[in-house]
Amino acid sequence: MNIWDIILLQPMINILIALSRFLFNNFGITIIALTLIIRFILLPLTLKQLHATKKMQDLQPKIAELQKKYAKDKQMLAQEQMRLMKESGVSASGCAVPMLIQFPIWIALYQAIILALAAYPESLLNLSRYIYSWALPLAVLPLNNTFLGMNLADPSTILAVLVGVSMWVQQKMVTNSEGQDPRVAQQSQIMLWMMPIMFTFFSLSFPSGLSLYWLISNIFSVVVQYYVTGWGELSLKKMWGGPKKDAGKDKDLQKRIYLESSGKKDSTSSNTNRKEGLNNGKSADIGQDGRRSDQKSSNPFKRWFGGN
Amino acid sequence: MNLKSRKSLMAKAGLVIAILLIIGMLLSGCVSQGMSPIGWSGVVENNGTLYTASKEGRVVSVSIKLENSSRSWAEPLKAVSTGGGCGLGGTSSGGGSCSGAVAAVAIYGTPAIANNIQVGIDDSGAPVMGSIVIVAGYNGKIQAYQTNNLSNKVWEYPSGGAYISPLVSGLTVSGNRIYFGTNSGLLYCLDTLGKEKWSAPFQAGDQIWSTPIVDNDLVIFGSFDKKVYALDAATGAKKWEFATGATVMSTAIAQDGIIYIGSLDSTLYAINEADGSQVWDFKADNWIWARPVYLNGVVYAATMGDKVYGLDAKSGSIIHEYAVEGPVASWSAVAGNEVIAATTNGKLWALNTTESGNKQRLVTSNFPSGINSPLMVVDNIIYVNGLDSSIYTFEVTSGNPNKIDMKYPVGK
Repeated sequence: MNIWDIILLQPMINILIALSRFLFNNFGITIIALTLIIRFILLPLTLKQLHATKKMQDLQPKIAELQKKYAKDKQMLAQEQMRLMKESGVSASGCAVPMLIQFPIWIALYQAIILALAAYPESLLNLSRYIYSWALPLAVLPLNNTFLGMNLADPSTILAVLVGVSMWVQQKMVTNSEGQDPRVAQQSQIMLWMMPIMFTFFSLSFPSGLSLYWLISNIFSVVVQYYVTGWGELSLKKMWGGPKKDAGKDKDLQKRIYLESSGKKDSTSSNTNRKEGLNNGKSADIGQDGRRSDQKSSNPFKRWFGGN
Repeated sequence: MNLKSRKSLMAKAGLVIAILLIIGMLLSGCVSQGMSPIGWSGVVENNGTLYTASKEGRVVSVSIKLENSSRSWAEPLKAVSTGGGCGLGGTSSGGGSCSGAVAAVAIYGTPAIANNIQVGIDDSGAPVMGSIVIVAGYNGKIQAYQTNNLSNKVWEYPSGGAYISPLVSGLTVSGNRIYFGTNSGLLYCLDTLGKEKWSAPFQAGDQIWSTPIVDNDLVIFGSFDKKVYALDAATGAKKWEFATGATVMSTAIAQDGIIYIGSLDSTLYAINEADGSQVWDFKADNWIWARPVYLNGVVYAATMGDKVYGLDAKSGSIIHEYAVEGPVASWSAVAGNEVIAATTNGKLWALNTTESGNKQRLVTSNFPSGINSPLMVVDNIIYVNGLDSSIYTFEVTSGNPNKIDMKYPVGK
């Protein structure tokens, strides 16, 4: 066994098997439980990443303005971007590092589920080398793969569709088209559709136990995303083109950003805007839904895990 | 949008798609191990010819002298896929393939031979007698071929487009009857013409991977429902059942009225064949997956925990203990006074069962893959079906290797 197996995969498999024993020997319930446990353990990192991403997204209009302003002076553009990010408390690593830490754990969980499912005789044979001696007495193998009438070792069309839909919802909530460079917006649109289509396709090919893991993980992400950014692009107003109450705010915000960064005074800005606007560079405090962080802080979820 | 920005957008879109494809490949690569049924059929010998199943899902034969000119191939078994997408998982009876190529059907049980049965009708309408080689596919189909003409499929069960559930259990031929278990927990009895002999197959509580054995008119096998069953070989009626602590996928052996069988509760059980009562049990270090082997009053039980135990057949007390440096899943074999055991990490051992000489020796540690398939020893030669559709042989004493490629020749 290699380092990956010893440090991550083997413990994950043994936890799955042990957990299964205490959850009625039902592997479906075990997958849901372990996915939620791991997602909760990783929640501080997830929140950190989401906040960083949101801040970065909120800065996009300002960055676009800077790009326009310093189109011919790359050095100045870089300096201004750095200054803007520093003032806003945003760093590129803030998005990437939490993601990088979580990624191996997700992959290990994914591999553990596939191995523990033991869909084929060789998988069961292979599984035996991962089981700790203390877990042997707990190992009721192969695990009971029947869940809600489905065999988790076989693909499920229903779960595949649910994976696709939940992933689309999550992607839609993450996407922020307002104030974005059209090219970036186009890329976001590609991701919005490609990811759900690809994962639906995978779900149709892989054992449905894996689809269950993706589905629960997606639902968890949607809930967390909601608490951090609200419905985002998924809000009915944005989806169906209703009166965009927030659009004016965003325009005002962009204008103020431009004026602030260019050192000009804003003759049209209102007191209300000042209250909601740049507050020590913390422009990201206003979410997509126009709610302020202090308005959201009544949410116990944010109090526990730290909001903006 | 001008041409430059359109090109840039196209390039970025391409990059995004490439990243997604890489994620897809990683996901499928991550799980490739154990995601495709491959099979672990052993080799059987009949009248100087070896029969086994290739990774391509075919029954293959070759003379025991391994002459290239003597090789013969049956048609490949047909895969049945109920899964979607690439067939990376699901209930596809073959391996995963995105290329659109037909996936090979895995064959786990060693082919079985039935001699002196009708294999056809001659021009005058008289029956032609001969031998058949029978194979159970993971596609849920039993097929029988004429041994001296593998292109002649004598019968299949079930016939036509019907399939039963996937077959991991091997086949046992006893008299003019064939016994095998299925993944749906059914134990079937057919005659050598492929017709069902019991009024209905016996239903166990869970999957049957154990190959049934027949002794004293009893059919004995284990099931995933943690039980060992003994059925009346003539009618399929249950005579007794014996409960163990875990899944029983091991195949039993019978010796002097006692059944020896291992379980995933890491225990080897000795059971009285007459009434199903326990004679003794032995707690080993790990799962017992492989079929035990009997030699000179000692039962040898190999475990998935790198050990082979030699136990007194009457009392279950330890007489020998060997460390074989790898889990053992394949059936061991006897060569003279030695037990030949193979590990899933590719080591082949000769274990000395006498008190004199070295306790054990490595026949080879260079097998090109893990060994999961049952071993066969004929005339001091060990035969192993490799995962590369080749038959490997090793001379027991010297370890001299030989190999013959059994892949179906391209363009044949």
